[in-house]
Amino acid sequence: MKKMDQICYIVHKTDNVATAMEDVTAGDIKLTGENKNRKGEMIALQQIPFGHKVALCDMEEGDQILKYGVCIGIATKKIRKGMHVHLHNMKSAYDFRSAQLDPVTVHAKDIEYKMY
Amino acid sequence: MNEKILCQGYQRRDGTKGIRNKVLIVFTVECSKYVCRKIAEYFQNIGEDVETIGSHSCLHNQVNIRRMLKYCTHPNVGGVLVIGHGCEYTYPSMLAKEAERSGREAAWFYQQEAGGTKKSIIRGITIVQDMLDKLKNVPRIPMYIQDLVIGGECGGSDFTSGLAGNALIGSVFDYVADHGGTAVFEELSEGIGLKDYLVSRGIDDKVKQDIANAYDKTVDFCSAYGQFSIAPGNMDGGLTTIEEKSMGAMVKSGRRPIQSVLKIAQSPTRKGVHLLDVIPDEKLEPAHFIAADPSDMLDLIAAGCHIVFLVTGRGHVVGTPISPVVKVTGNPRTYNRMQDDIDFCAAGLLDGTESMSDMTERMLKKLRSICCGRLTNAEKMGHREGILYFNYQDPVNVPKCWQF
Repeated sequence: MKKMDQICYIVHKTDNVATAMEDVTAGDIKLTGENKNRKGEMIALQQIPFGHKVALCDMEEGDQILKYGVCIGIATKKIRKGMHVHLHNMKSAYDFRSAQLDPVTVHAKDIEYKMY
Repeated sequence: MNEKILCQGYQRRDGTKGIRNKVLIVFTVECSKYVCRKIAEYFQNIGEDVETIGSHSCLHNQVNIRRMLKYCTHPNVGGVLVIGHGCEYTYPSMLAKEAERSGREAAWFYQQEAGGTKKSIIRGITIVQDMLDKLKNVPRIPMYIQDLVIGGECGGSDFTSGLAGNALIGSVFDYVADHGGTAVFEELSEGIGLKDYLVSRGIDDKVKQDIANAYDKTVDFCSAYGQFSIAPGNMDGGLTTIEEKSMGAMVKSGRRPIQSVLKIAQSPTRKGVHLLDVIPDEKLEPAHFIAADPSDMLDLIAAGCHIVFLVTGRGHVVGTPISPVVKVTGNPRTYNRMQDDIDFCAAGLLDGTESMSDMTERMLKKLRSICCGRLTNAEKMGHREGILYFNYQDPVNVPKCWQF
């Protein structure tokens, strides 16, 4: 059986990330939206959960992450084209607290759930 | 322009027109809330439109007084009963006086003087029954889009909010502004990172300066508090940073010029799109972060909104005691899971099955039917959230420096 295309949506033509329109598994993806300057096909290197972002090009630490044509944060490590872009490899330029959340559980590390 | 009648509104004596004809029971302190709720429940159980709202503290707060005065004179409210406990600062008599001055049915008493719980409930039921009888005679008058004030809010955002739900509400804002109506949005704390864009939408230099001031204050406030308006649920939904969430949030205000920056409980003085600033001018109070969506919607309603659109991605359930809330999502999974709560699915914008103009038309049809009296899901479910927290603002002088 032929697998359905895995769609990732580009909001603005200058963006360097696209949004997964379903739970994407590593492998071929199809780019839709404002992808005029790019080929429609790409390879996701990792799982990209529904609604999460995939890198459209290689990025260095400190590079701006662009979505909607604006900077939505800064890369905190090298990101390869096709990788999942989220809390583990980018952070806000404003919100210092969210940058410290556990990237997997999204739990805050500065609040204890502990009884005394 | 378009002179199509929106609905037959309720004509108030102060010249405003409402889309609901409510009796509002106001408690001036937590201690009289129980009696107010019991009276309201009695009528809610027999299908009457009676709601409660009030102040919880014994102490005075200027912003809360301004809010309550606006609720007591809101176009959707035809009658007001204010019940005090008897020893708090907030004066029930003063709230009732303003309601009466605006031509509403109005009454007030203290539960201590009425003889406690049972006697107050019985007295309240008698008063409200009398008001409901009188409200049946409120004249109906054609209401146009020019008479309407809409609000836009988002809550429980995910990646679809910015791409579908908020984009749709932005299109509705544009329609309302283009047809001589009024639209109010807020959530500057979800505008972080977008100063240049927001300032560029100011109608003139003064408004541009007001937007810049309100923006700077918001960044200072969030930085001082160490928390920005993004939470783990948003992140699970694929939003990584506040900047990303911001861009998705601000599209709900459409593209028309911003006519003014309003403080809490200030009404727009001209038609078009307005930005409401809910951040305190002074004092580092967590108010803005508490029960944020329902309480923020109450602030939109204090600006005069007849109806509020609430865009969600992850899902939402809330409503308000005063104005109907229309819940919209662009996430098809959320819509299928929560159809009892969510009024409108905007997912067609994402999968390409519905164009923006068709969907806007479908939403305007929905808006008309709700203005004509059709209940929203929040109204059907009996949702009536929102708490009035202390806030500190000066509606006249906007300070340029903040020392949070």
